[in-house]
Amino acid sequence: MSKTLNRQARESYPFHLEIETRFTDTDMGGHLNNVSILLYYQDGRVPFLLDCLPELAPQTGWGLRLARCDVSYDGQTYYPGPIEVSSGIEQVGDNWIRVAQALFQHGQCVGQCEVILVLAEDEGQPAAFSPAQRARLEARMLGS
Amino acid sequence: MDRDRIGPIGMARYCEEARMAFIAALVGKDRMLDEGWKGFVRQCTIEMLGDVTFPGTLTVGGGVLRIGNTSCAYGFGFFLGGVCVCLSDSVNVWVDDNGRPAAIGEAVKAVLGREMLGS
Repeated sequence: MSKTLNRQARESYPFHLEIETRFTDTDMGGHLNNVSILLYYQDGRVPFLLDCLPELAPQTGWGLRLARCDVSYDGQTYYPGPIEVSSGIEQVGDNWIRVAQALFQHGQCVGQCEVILVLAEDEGQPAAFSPAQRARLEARMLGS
Repeated sequence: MDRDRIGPIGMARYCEEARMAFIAALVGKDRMLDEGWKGFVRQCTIEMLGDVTFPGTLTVGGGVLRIGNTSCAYGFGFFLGGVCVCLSDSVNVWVDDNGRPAAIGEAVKAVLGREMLGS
């Protein structure tokens, strides 16, 4: 994780998406369920990645596979009302990326998520990001 | 699910089911929501080590990783055909009626302490 960036600050992220919370995702206490929250991170992450790498859209055989997910729940998230998912690239490898995200509700950071996505192999051959793809990903780093 | 594979987000549901089944096995389904077991998930990590393919039957093994004053960490491994395909760690924080961290009772600690991984 970055030591200099405040990962709980909205301005640290280059991409933001507001999403309306769903009743179906609530638990018995009106909070969003911890597993359901992963779907909100995904809802925010996919448009971000499509913006970075449109050629990897699902219709073309989505080429990124989620390998690891690390999520912290820093506060309660409630229904109804919108939440905002903020996303940024934290690290770019030869064939993988680390994406950092944060969840905001009523201006407060209520959680953070970090995922590693791996570029899928192409017919058994290890895939790697092209220089152009790397440039686009690096333009969306945290803090940019 | 991604085509015929289940990814970390899908596995999160299996992790939650595993954790609840683990607690139910420890104290019984009728007591698992009692005050002494009231908590929230504070942190969760899911790491895919292999493909979780559909259809298939997963076997899960798990236990307690750490016990703190107000939290407990659980660890689970998911196996498909005898191969470990996913690892999950989660930290649950015990809370009071106002949602503030609360000390885990000694009786609950004793039950958890008998279920440490590797013991």
